[in-house]
Order: sequence, then structure tokens, then C-alpha cells
Amino acid sequence: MNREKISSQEIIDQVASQLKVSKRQSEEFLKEMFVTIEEALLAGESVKIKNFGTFKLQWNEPRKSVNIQTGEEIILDGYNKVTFTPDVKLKDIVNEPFAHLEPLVLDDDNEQEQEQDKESIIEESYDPLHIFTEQASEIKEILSEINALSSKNIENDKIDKNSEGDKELVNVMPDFIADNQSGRAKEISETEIANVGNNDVISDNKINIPPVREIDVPETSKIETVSGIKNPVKYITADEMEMAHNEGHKLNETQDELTQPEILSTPDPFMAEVRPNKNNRKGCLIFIIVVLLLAGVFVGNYYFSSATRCWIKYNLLSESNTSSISKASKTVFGWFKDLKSWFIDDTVIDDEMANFYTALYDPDSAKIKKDTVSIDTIAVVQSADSLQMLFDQHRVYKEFIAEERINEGSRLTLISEKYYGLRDFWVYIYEANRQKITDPDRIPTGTIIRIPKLDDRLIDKNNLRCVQYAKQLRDLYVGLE
Amino acid sequence: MNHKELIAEIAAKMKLPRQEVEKLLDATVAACTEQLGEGKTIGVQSFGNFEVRKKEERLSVHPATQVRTLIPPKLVVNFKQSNILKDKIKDLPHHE
Repeated sequence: MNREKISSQEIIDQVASQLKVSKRQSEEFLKEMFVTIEEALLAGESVKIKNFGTFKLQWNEPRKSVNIQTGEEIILDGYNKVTFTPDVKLKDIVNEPFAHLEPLVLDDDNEQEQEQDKESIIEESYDPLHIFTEQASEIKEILSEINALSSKNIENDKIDKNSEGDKELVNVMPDFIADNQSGRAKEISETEIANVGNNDVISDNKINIPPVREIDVPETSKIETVSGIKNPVKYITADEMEMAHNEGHKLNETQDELTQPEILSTPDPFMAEVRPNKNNRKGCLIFIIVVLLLAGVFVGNYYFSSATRCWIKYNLLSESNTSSISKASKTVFGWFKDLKSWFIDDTVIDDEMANFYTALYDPDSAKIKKDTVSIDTIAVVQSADSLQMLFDQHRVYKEFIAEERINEGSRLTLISEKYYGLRDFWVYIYEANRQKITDPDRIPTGTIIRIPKLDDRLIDKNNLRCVQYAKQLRDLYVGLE
Repeated sequence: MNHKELIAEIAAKMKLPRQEVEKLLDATVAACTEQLGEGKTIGVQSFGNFEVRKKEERLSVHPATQVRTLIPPKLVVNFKQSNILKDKIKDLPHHE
């Protein structure tokens, strides 16, 4: 800033040369002008000059103060003061050097985001760190696999415990069973057969499970389902032998059964039927557990049409078409899994179902509710699988939504945020422009990159799996460089 | 007293036509503005100094919403009255 001080003389000279009047006149005018202002101020008036500002007289109140040397209190007298408020025009002209600056609203979130951004930039530019994080993630994967294997064993124990819990439940049952005893044995056997069918299917499924390695959570859940099913299978095969004489009726009748929901919902009488036949009490209890599980399965079928469709498909095609079987079994899969998990977790009560089943029979209502609720989670598992397929699919970029020129300071992450709403999805832009971009951290300015059109499911920023997958891709690509 | 009244007053004192005075006043204001725009300080004898001061950037917090705003630095015109003027207005009765 210029600290130079000029006197009124220079203003006089300037005015004189500008208006081509004599300096005397100009000087006289200036003097007169300030005298007039002074007079007006002395008269208590404020003086306003267009495009310059306003002069005002301001009264400052007397105030108390302390003499620094003596510590005495002194009173400073009130006084008048001439204040000058510059006009907007003058303000603007004077403030021109800083005119481009705007007040900046500081948001706490914003600041954090910026800090994060800085961190990520540092991370991206520092290669050894990336290699290290990659290694860390590999170790994590291995650990999760080990955990999954050990959790299998734990699951087996859990199932045993559950079956014990069911024994207690069964003891309460006989009162109900006595009522509806007659002529139901056949139907139960059919459900049994259906279940036997499942066993095969389940074994198929074990093989069919796609290798899910990228994301830890789904993997462990899948292994859980496998272990969860293994145990029921054991029980069923034991019962299968005993029920061999009933197997003649089989599939056509199971289909009939599906159309009669009230039969489906009351499979318990079979328990009473079985009990006299069996001397082995333990075997009987195990069988009852299986029956209860099946009851849950059928009730679920009745209430959720999508699952029913699955079952019908299964029943119609069970003899020839194995692919549909695997589909049906997948749902059964989920039920077993969820039944197991519900034993452990608290129950979420579906009100509608609760009313219906408490009317039918109390002790089982809670459990059947659990079964029905579980169906929702199956849908989630299935949709997650389709997402997995989307991930595994080789991506070919044919459609593009825009072109972007790389300028100084452009970043793929920022471009990604602009088009996809999240920075992590920059990997897809990189994938689509691999011919042009050798290093995603250092793209030469002037490069024109194309922004690919992506499947909405792939860039769903609310889906954690999409984000995780993008991050894995990032690790992969940045690790390559 | 506004702009026009000031012109009228000066015109009466100097015995000049108002247009002339207006021209002179505008030219003076323009000259002062220009000098101030360059960051120079204008000293007027027995009246005071016009100077440009820089206000540093600051952080303001809205008392109600707690929104923090960074106010950029700016240049403002400051007027400081001379001691002569101060003495003249010292004895002025203040209203209150």
C-alpha cells in the first residue's frame, strides 16, 4: 500500500488542470468548500457530498479511566468528533484490490472433507504406501477365510443347542396334537419327502456357491448357511429311513398340499402320530424339529408369493430340471439359515402374522413368525448375488455420457464426483480410458477423457458393496502403477 | 445539508454560478477519489486527513446460527479530524 501523503495543494493542482481554471480559483474553491462544511458541522448539521461521503458530528460520552502512573481515577471529558462515512462509490474504488474476495462460509463438514481429500491425495501420490495397504487387505482376506472356517464348527454346536430348546417346546405340544390327530400322517410324510428332495438340492447348492472372495461379509454369511443346512440334513436322512413306507405318495400330493394352506400350517399332529411308532424318543424329537422347520417353510410359502412361485417351480420340475431345484433350494437355504439365526437373535414380530398365529397355536407362533420374517432377507441375498454378478462381469464401455478435458488441477476423483456423485467411482472412468491414461495420478493436461455410462446399480453410492468394490478396484489399479 | 445545499452555499459565498461550483466540486471529489484509490493519504489543512486503512481478514461467527464466516481483508477510507477542527467543535453544545 502506498503510504505517500499528499496535501490539498496537489488536489488543487489536479482540479485546476482538469477544468482548465486558474489555480487560484481552484484553491479558493477548496478552502471555501471545507469552511462551508465546517460551518455546517458547527451548526450541528451533517454534510453529504455526492459520490464522496457524509460528514457528521458525533458526540463521545465522557468516560472514566485510570492514570497509569498514579493509579488515580480520572474522568475523560466528552467531546465532539467529526466522522466521515464514505459513499458506496468511493468504498468500491478504494477497495478495488480486494474486490474479488468473497466472504467464505466455513462449514465443519466441509473442512473435514477437504482434509480427507488432502489425505487421499497424499495417499495416492505415495506408491509404497499403496503396496503396503494392498498387502494388508490380502492378509485381512486370509484371516476372514480362517474365521469363516472356524465359525462353521461353532455353528454346529449352536444347532445342537437349538434342538435342545425345541425339545422343551415339543413337550408342551401334545395337548394340541391330540385334537387334530386323525388322517394327517400322510401329509406330513409328504412334507418329509419334499425335504428329502431338498437334501439333494442342498448338496448341489454347496457346489454351486459362487466364489465370493472380494467382500468379507457375504462370504461368511454364505458359509453360515452351508453349515446351518448341514445339520438338518443329518436329521432328515435319519428320519428318511423310518418314513420309507410313506414315500409312495410323493410329489403330486405335495403339490395338492400347497393349495391347502390350513393343512400346511398344522403339521404338528404328525408328531403325535410318530411318537407311538417310535421307541426312540430322541429320534422322535429330532423329527419333530424337522417338521416344525417345514411348517415354517410352508407358512412362509403361503404368505410370500415370490417364494411360493419358487416352490411350485420346484415341485413341477423336480424330477427333471435340476436348475430350478437349485433355485428353490436356495430359498430353503435362506430359511434354514435364518431360522438358525433367529434362534440366536431377538425376534422381530410381524404384527399381522402374530395375530394370525397366536390364534392357531401359541407355543409355535413365535417360531413361525421367525420363519416368515426370514424371507425378506433371502431377497436381499439374491439381489446381492446379482450385484456380485455385475461386479464379476467384464465391463465394456460403449456408451459415453460426456467428454472432459483434463486441465491443471483436474482429478479423476473430482470428475467422478461430478458425474456419478461419489469420488470412489473414478476407477470406472479410468477403466474406460485406459488407452489414454497411463497413470491415474499423473494425467497430462489437455487429455480428453470420456465419461462412460454406467449401470445405476454399479454406481449406487448408497450401497456399501458398490463403494467397497470400487475401492478394491482402486487398490488394484493404483497397485499396478 | 445535502449536495445541492452545499453547492448553493459555496456559490453564494464565492459569487460564482452554481454550475461552475458543481463542476469544481465534482472535479475535486473525482481527484480525491482517484488519490485515495491509489492508496494515498490526503491531508487538508485545518480540517483533517483522509487515509486508506487495511482491515485484516477475520472470522465472524453468527451468534444465532453459529455459522462461521471468513471475512476477507478490505481497504476502507478513514477520516481523522485535525486538532484545529477538534478545538473548534469542542465547545459545541451536545444534544442529550
